[in-house]
Amino acid sequence: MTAEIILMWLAVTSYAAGAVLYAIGFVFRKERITAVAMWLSLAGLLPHLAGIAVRWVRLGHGPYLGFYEVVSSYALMTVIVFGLVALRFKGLRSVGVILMPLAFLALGGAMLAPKSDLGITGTLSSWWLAIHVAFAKLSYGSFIAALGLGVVFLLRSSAKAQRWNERLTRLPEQEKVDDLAFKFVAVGFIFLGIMIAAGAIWANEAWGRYWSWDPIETWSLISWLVYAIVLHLRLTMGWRGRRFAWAAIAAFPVMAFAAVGVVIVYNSIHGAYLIGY
Amino acid sequence: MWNPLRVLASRRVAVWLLVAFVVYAAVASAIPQGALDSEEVVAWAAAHPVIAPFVGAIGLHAAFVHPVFIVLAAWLALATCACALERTRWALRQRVRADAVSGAALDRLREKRAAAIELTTALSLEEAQDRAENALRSLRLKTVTHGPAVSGRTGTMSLLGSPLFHWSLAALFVVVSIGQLTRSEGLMGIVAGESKADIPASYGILDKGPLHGDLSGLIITVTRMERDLVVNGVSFGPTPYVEVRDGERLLDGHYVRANAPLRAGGLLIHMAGYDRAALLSVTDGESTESLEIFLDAEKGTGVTQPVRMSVGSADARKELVVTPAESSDPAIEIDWKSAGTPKSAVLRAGESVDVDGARVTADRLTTYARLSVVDDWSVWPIYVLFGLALLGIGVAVLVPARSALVLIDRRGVTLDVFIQARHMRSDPDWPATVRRSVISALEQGVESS
Repeated sequence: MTAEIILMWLAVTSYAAGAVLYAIGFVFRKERITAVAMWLSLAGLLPHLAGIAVRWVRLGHGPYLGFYEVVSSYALMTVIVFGLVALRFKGLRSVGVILMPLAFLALGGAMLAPKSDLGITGTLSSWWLAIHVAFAKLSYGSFIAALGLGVVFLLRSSAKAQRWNERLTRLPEQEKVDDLAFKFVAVGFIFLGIMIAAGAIWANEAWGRYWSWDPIETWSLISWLVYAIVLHLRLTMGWRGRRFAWAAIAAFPVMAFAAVGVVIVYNSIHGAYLIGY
Repeated sequence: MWNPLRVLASRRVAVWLLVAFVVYAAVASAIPQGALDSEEVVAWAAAHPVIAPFVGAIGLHAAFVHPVFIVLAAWLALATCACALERTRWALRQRVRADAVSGAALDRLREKRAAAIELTTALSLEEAQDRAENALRSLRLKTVTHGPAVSGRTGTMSLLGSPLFHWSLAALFVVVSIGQLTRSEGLMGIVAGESKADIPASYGILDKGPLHGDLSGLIITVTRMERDLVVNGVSFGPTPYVEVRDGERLLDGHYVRANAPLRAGGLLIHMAGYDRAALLSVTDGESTESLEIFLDAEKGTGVTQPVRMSVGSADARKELVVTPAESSDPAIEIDWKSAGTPKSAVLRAGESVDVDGARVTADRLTTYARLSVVDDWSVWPIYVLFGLALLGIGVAVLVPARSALVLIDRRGVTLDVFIQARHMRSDPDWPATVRRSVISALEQGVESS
């Protein structure tokens, strides 16, 4: 337990330092500081992954039981997605200005939550769990990437675009940022659909009902429909650029609420697994 | 003139319908769903005295079978059908036009002189066309030559993603609706070692759709209860071994636990709970009556509520109250009033007591399994349709229809190359990708200007 906690605090520290350096690099237009911020943030992945692995080995299950594990794994996904975007599109390193503070806050919040050791119950011992959880994380990762790209797009196209542009000179053209944000929304929508389908199949196997309008089921469907609206606006009503960026940003809190907030606010059958009540 | 199909297929209406669905579902999720007397609804009403009467009056505790929801869902289903129809027509039109390039289209392309690329090359027109065709093929396009032009397009499947998505969702609405009307779901308590038939009288709770026919009549047996079933190191707690028979013929049988339901004869059987049970026999004069008593511990408190029952012959009914007795071995306590005087007896298995002339015997004190029995044909079709919908949206957004047209004219020692590229969702990279690929193929070993 101690080794795990030390590793996780190392990750929190690394993400915090990354977030702060990103802010400094962005405000003072220091490319080198931004580069250091990126590598420092990505270095935090090592203790984070190691901490999760240690816990996985100790408890015999992945990071999906209880608030601490769930939110920590969302923070991990945020940094992984940030790393993939930043390493694949060098000009998009600046997305870390948005994503790293989110990752830091998520992991920091998780570290302050109780770290109860929850075991695998009969209901949870299913392969569908792995599929359901994996696609939940993948959809979250895609949507948070779309959120980051949407914010970057808006910063560059705002009324004070000149000032922002000076700080975002290495970004790809706006048209490409917009297209990339759309692709992340589209992929996230498919992943979320697979997550819902896997959950329904699993629920039918475990409880005998593929759908029971439990609050978390309802909010998963709401998230899917909200992103369906975003895609509809893009594909059939021609929302591109600023309007699409706003739509991608506005949809994210719904998804985040469905992933973490619902079980805190409502009495849900998923609560026992997600926040351990 | 007002065209209902156009209204249904309206993109703006589709978005507003989705918004309405989202808002309705969000509001409904904040209100406990279930019968008005269910514990959760009663607790919620006590905590929200101002809005509870209003919410109860308009039926929001059954929000997902409420007429407003049904109308909204039906409208959304019709709109999805209309969209599917429109997109199918569009896809078919595109498919028919895909391989046809008119002379007028080539002339329009030639008029875009600014987009022309001049190449100084020794290639013949035919060689240049061959190279352009290969370039389009390398982009995984199917190519056709039209005189001086080469066109390329993605396969028909790429056009069908959106129609497949919308038709699958439309079919999903239909299958889910019919499935709800034709399904049956109920809770049946079976004492270990006993059987019950799949008939309405066997169920404690039965929810049968209006279009569901007779129940199957199959015989469901709980042959035994495992005290704690452990599979791969995971404890499942008390678990029943369940068998389903059609007459004498055994259809299937195994331990029924979470993630391992029993599927037999169209029934899906789950373990929904377990608790203590007593099998009593009451002999009053010539007649003997067998009784099955389920002693359920209350959720949350763990306290077992007394079971009240009326036994004996019609002219001398006796009111009994049965509770589990505090004892190291299984026992029940029976309470009754004899001429106004409270009386009580503790019975172990095989013991009897005289209750005002009626002999009450505890034949067996054991456990029972509460089984959820579902007869629903629609589950697998729903999975398939949702899978097809995801496949459709995957094709529509990840590998959408793309096309390219390359026109090459010879002008003296140079070639004029005109390139047009179209992408179904206007990917900004596509025109540049086509242009780069074609020019690169044509420039191999030649000079350009």
